[in-house]
Amino acid sequence: MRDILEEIWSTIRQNKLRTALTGFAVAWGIFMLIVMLGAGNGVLNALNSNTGMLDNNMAIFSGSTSKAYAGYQKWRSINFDTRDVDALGEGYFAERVDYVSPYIEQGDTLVFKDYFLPARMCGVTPEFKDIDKIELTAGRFINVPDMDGLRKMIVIGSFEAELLAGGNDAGSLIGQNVKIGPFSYKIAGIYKSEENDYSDDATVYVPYSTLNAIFAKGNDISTIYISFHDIDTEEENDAFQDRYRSIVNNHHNAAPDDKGTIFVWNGTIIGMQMNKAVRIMNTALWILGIFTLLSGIVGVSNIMLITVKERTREFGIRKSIGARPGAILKLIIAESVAITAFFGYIGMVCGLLVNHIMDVTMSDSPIDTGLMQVTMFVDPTVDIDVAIKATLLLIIAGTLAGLIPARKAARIRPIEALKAE
Amino acid sequence: MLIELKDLNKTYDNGQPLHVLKGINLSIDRGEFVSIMGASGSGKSTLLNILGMLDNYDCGEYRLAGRLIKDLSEKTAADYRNRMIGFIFQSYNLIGFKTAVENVELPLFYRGTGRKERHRKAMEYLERLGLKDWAAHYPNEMSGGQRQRVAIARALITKPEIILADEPTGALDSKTSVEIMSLLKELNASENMTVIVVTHESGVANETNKIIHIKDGVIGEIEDNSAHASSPFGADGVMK
Repeated sequence: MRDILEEIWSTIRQNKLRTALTGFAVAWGIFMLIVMLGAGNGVLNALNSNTGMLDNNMAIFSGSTSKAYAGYQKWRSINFDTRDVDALGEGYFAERVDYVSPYIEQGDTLVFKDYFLPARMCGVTPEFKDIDKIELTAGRFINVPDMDGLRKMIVIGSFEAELLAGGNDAGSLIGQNVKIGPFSYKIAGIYKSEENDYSDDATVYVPYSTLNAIFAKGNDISTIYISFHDIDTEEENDAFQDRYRSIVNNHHNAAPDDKGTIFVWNGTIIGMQMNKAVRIMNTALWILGIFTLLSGIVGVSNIMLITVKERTREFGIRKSIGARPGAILKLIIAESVAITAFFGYIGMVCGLLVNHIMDVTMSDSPIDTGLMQVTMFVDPTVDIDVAIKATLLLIIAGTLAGLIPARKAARIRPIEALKAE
Repeated sequence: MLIELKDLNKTYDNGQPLHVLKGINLSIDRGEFVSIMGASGSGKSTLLNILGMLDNYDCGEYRLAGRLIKDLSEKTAADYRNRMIGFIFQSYNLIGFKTAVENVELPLFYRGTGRKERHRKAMEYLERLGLKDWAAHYPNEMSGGQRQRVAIARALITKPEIILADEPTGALDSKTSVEIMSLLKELNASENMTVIVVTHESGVANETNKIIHIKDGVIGEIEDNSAHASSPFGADGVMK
């Protein structure tokens, strides 16, 4: 081993510039691969965190008619009513739907002691907790007695709770009253909310029945949230959507084939589509990276070919004093592997370093698009095992790159090699 | 007999067939100091290459120490060369980026000898050839005579059956030539080493004990030269 290394070192020393240039090509290849994969991962992670995808839940939005029907003009806007909500608990739907919650909204200012917060009251049923996978940090969520008694109970976010508690334990707020608009609501619980930089209204939950009664929104439900099982493919999703649309169209005197009346947002399907997109993007990045690598490898092979040509006479000498063809083969391949491995490693380290710099400087910093804040980059790094795999790939490629020139060198007959200049 | 050649033929086919060796019959005994002499194109180098297993022959028979050397694989040929033959070339054929001692070590490396043993032996041979102080120098830092002595050390280190020298003095001045030839002579005398020298210089051939003349691919006269009186220049040892 030591002999081989010494041999490699002495030949590399002979051709510093050439080795450096080849090494640069290899290092650049692996560097680009890792930086691209890292940046790609950053974008993908950001996509995932922005959508906050939840499996097995669905939002059904109401739309408007797209054609005239039964004496009505087109573009009539449709809102769900209790019939539509109840339909989800019957027949075909009962088999698939686990929880249903109609969803209505009302915005007003939340007042507590000296605090004034813009708030968005969301009227939901107790099931909404399970549909939207809400985590409670204190107290309880809306319950059935709240619904039945039209109680003015409220569940607030932990971020706002911290603020309102003013340094005290947020849990002490349970049972206290906040005022929103003309009415007071008693705090029933605190749910875990994300940090809010006040650009968004504070989301608070109140019983659907209460909000409905106060603001008379009985036939004005814009969205229905459900959770479900056994809708795992796009076909099943489409079938579900079509069936439900026909029921809604029937309820609201819209044409049976009118597609504009409802829109479905299925977390599972979106997740699947997103995963597919992620896979495609990942594949594309790998392909790009590998092509970049390939140019480095061709460089190595090229250099090795020149080396072999230059060293033909030396190989002839070695053979004349008893070097087997295998020994020559080993020498060339070892050199090629050493160059690719060494410079590949440098490229890998630099790539990981740049990923780290991206992580520190650009990661998690939201970009204001005007409408909303979007995080473009989250955790733009490559797993160390991917980096190692890429480097191993490079070493294998280095072997292959060395193989053709090495076989050429091993095959030269000593008598011809000794004649070479 | 150490070397036995029977009706050896070799034809090169580079577009036009060239019959170089036309039935060589020759035997050389262990411990002989022989020169093969001939003009350029006579086939003497080809013969030497075949003797050294650097080249193949077409038909005939070549036995080295009783072993038939024919159609060897590259691998076997390499092993035989390593064990039985020491080469000395006109252009030294040292590896430029290796020091003198590393060059001398190389045959032992291919034999699989350990580092320390290799180095010790190489130093021993360099010392015998008076190059101990030059061990760490690269070939381009040495004179022609010194380089050729390094090459001789490299040839000797494996204790080969024969030393094959192809125009060993061809690139040296006359004074150094005399030195190298007397070195080979001494090797032959003191260690009973079989030495075969290929040359076209009669002065060089005159230093050997037997001169084999080769002409147009056949062996001509085989001259006993124990008296070293064949060349008019031989008497006073001037070779060029």
